Amino acid sequence: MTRTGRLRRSISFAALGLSALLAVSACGSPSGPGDSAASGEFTYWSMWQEKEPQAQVIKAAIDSFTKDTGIKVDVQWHGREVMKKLTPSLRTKAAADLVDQSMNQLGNGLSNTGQSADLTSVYNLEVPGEGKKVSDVIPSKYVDYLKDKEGKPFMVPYEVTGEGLWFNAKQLPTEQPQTWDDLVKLLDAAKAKGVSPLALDADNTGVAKYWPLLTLIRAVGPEGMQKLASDRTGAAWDDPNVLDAVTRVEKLVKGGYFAPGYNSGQYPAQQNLWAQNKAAYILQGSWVTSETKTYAAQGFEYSSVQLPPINGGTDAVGVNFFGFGIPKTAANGEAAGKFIAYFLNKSRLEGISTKADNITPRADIPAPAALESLSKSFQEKAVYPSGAALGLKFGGWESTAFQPVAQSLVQGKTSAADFVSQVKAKSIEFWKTQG
Amino acid sequence: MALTLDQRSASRRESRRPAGPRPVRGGQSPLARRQRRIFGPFLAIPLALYLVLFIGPTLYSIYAAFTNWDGINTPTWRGTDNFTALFDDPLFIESFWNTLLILVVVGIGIFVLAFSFMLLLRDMKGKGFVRGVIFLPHIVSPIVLAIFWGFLLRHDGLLNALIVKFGGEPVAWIGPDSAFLMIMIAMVWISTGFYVAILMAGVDRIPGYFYEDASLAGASAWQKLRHITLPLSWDVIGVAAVLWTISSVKVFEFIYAFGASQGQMPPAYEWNAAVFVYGVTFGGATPQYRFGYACASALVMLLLVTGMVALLRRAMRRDAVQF
Amino acid sequence: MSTHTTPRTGVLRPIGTTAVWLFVSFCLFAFLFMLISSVKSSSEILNTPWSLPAAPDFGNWSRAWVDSGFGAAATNTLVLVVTASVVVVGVSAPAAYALSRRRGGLSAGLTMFFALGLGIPLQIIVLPLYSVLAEFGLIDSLFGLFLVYVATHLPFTVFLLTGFFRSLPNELEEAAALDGVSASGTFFRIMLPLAQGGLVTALLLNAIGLWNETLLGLMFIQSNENYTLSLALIGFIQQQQYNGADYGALFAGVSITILPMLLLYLWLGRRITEGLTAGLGK
Repeated sequence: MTRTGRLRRSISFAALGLSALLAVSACGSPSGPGDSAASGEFTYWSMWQEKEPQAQVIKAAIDSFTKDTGIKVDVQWHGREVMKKLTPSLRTKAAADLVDQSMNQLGNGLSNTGQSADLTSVYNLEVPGEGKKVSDVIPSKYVDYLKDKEGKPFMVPYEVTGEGLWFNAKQLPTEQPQTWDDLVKLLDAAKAKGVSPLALDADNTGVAKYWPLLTLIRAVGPEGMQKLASDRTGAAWDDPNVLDAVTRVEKLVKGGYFAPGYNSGQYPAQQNLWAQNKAAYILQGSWVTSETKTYAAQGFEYSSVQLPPINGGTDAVGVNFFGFGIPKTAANGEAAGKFIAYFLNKSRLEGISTKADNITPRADIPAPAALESLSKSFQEKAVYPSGAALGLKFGGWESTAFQPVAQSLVQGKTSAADFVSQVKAKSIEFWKTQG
Repeated sequence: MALTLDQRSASRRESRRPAGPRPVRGGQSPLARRQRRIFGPFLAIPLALYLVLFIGPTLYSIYAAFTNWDGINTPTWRGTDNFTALFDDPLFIESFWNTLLILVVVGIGIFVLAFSFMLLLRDMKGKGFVRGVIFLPHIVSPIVLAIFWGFLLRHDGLLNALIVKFGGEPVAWIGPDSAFLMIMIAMVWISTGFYVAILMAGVDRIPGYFYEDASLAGASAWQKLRHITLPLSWDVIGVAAVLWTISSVKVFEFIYAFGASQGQMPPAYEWNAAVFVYGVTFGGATPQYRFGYACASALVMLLLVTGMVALLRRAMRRDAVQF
Repeated sequence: MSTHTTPRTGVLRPIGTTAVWLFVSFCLFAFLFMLISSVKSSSEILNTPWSLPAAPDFGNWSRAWVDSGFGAAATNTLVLVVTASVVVVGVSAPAAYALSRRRGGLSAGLTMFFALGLGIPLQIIVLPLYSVLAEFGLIDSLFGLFLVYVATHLPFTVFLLTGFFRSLPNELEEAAALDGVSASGTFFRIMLPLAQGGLVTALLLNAIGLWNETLLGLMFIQSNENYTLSLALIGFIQQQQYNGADYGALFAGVSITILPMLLLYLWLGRRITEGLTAGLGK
């Protein structure tokens, strides 16, 4: 008895010592951001690494922002894992007052968990030096996709991306195909020239799903796609239009349209192959232009068309965003909001196009040459949130019920008919478990 | 009290029996009593650290397994719903099977290889060198090894470059049917050296004269294996089996670095349980933040490991041979 | 099973020996490939993976070292790994000794209790652990990560060293006890020096594991100046999303992370096996 008593005493003593140690060190280390009540500073956690072009553009803006306003910015260049690092601190006091990532990352991490600040006030701020409000320079058709269930915006975009069928305009000038048959003709023409029609990094789960997903959206529209995703009975999948669209993808797979090795390579091997003119087209996000830049054949001219509508379906263009969010528990959200407005000034935001080679949300900033085609589609056609916003609204369904089967379809492991019946069955299962 | 080297080695040589205080009838030996006194102080610090930073969080996660928790807001009680949902989730089922495949198939692969190596190495030239080199993969980050493995096997990779050079057709090493197999082979490659080291550790302790005597008595190699090597290294084999069981379930970095691209999760056919935990929480371009669910899956795996270890210990239990 | 297999082993041995050497060559090749690729250009790596570089390009190394912060990360990692592995062995050794020298339920239970930690996947404790660390203001602190490293590596170290101390004879302790030496005196002056082999093994295995640790660093380190090598490597790999890959610099980064371990292993590698012998033998 005395023995365990002594043991217990030793343990509690050690625990005491440990907590004292922890407490001391806590005092010594610089504590989190926003301790000062004044809004003279804020912390920004970036999705970019310091040497990346976007980081350079934002950094330049931060420097002049501090000079102009006296507000200091503590930047951490976290890279893509930024939301993961931020999450645990969100509930009590966010470790960053300003964060940037994609629509899906910010939507899932901040908005869907109820941790996003209402950015309405930021949209009402004046863009310094322009006499216009933020809401005047960001098209409202974009902002509509960046709102939570109550209609409050959770994100201010500074970079707009989208998917397209990309090609080298120098080598292979291509007109927008009006029908699926037109598209197949294009592919056949490439084949006849001895070039693989399509590149695809099928191991990349995000890219593998493009063909089935975008084709389905072409047939049933973005709303129709959301209905497919959210149908608890699975009955929506019986629509013959669905099978028809998927069968078209199956034919591409079975017809040998994808470049050799598409199924056994590692991303980004195929897109680099494509940039070397060894494949004619690639269905990818617009970032494929920056990602392949250093590997592209000489004189490569990036251009893109959209998949044609199927059976009178939609020809709208999917649009995706990268931009800023502010956590609800941020201590210096106001200062962060000021920076957002400041950054959207034309002269500063321009760098995203001229230096970082991306489309900005502002219509008055020309797109970089490589993305002109896509930018034109954004302006001329109706837009819909990329991937029918499945990732944002039905992320669990997409990754569980849809994505693995879609990948299997383009890998030639699942037929169109099996695809439909499997996704249907998995959807029913999935929604059953979502209490 | 300073002991001379002589005394030390002498006593080492003599005492071949298992250590630990001798059982003393009734009372306690003075040594046992003294050692009892240091028990508390010696254990206090590690125990406190372990409780606060390891066991505490684990207990919370066990609680969270029965809740709906997004990792941020307060968990809400969900009873056993997470567990029923898990076994309806095709992704979890696939991850679960893959975990078992790594545990059992890779485990067998490693042990067959490590055991054969051990037998071959016992009297082979350059044995120290071999042992040192095959241990190398173990000292390198799994992320680095995954990068190498990808370069080796991808369609335009090292192996296919060689095949094409000699007039062959590129092989689809990491297609949907074979990718997981390749991951398993990599696991064998990475781990064999470590387990050879452990097994050799056991075998090295067997006095050489056992084998000499056996040879004199005309025993075959097989008989030596059967009657000397196996029984005398049985303990070590058991420890190695337990270690593999435990670490196989935790395999994560290699699969993630090998299969994931562009911030996406690896293809579903490459998932194991650890990847699953990541996939339903932080992973992918559209993170799910289903922490309660993830905790439930980890709890299932923890139970699996515990069961397997108990089973292994039971199966491996034999009269330990003292020598 | 037949006992007349003697002749067969005669055929098996050369085959087996060849297999062993193939395995060895493959391991060496893997390391050589990575080191050589670190001085090749990206297109050379992709297009002529088997060739030596036309001219070694050390620009890869400077891009990795300076631009991607591997230099600063290397210092953090070194300090962290050395202190954490010394401390984890330092606190585990007395515990393991105490556990190995006592029989009975409490001791057996505690041994099991520590071993239990071996089976718990870290992914699952990171979130609650975050709350604990945040409570003490230890997020984004190398000291906080140090404590976590010590705690998470206790189970294996205690497990290994308990086995090791069990394998040591206790005659010396009995003699010391008769001489009136206190138990802690016996431990520090007699048993610790005897256990040197096991301690070095534990130290090395921990150092290797910690050097390559990724998950905990990813969760608990935030600012770039606190980055460890694996975090620098991960950040670097992720850059290829949206902005393209720099394979040459990637392999330079890889080489920076593996070379120190390689050197350490060349220097002390033998000690690992020596300690394992005793620690896992019983």
